[in-house]
Amino acid sequence: MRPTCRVVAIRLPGVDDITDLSPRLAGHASTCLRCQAEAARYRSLSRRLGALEDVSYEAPEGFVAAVMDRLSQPLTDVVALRNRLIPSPAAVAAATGAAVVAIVVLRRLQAPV
Amino acid sequence: MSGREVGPVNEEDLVSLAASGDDAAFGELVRIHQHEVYTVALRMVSDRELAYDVAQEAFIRAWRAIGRFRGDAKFSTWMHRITVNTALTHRERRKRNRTDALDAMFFEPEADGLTPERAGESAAAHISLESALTDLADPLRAVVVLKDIYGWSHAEISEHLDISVTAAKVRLHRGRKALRDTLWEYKEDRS
Repeated sequence: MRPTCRVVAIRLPGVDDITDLSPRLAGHASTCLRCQAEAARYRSLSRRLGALEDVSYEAPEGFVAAVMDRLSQPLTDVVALRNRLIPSPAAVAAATGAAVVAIVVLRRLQAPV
Repeated sequence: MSGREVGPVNEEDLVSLAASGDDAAFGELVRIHQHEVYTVALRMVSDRELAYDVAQEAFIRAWRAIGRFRGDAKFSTWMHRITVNTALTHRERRKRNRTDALDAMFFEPEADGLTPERAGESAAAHISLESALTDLADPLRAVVVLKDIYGWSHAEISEHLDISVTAAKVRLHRGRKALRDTLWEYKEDRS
């Protein structure tokens, strides 16, 4: 490979076409079959990559349902947390009753015989 | 990517409804864009399982942020950017968990989901290029995918990947060169 061809090969991945090279390199590439072939490869690569935008892979089955389930998760978690933090009236009554019994028992134990 | 008619309700209406808290409208948006978002995620992370998680997470993030979506860009473009950002934040996890190779990704029966729409380009050629893309190192692949497939500018890539424009250009250069060498077997040209 000639030195100028090597330089062109190094530069080509960073440009869209040989016309974007420096005038000296572009002049060489315009008359060099090897460089033109290399430029054609990059044009092909660019075209094929661009075509991938229209190629899609199907999301796995059940994807939408899974997303919708996850949307509701934070709310569910908050509700569950709230249920744990805010006691029910029955629980409040039971705790109050237990506290009253404990106080009565303690006072009787402390009372002089 | 364009705004699509969805029966009697167009996409802009769905976005407005979703922004007001209508999860059914958002579900319709998920249904419309699921494949597109999953594909972007898959190309960014090269791991189907992780791509599934990334795509889900992207929609969750979108749901939480949709009240701030102003409609300056198309919903699909907005989703695309959220997906890319989500994929980038999952990069470390991918490094820890990556076990499935390219062949497993693109040559298993599930690849039946491939739907080439461009005439003249065979599915085999797409698979070959997708395989070569997956073999690229993460930083190079991200730039090539965003620039050469999705048409982002170097400035946009720089901003989203948190790198300089120069670094984006260098990565693109290296990525293209690596793809060229893979697809055209560099050895034959060195003689």
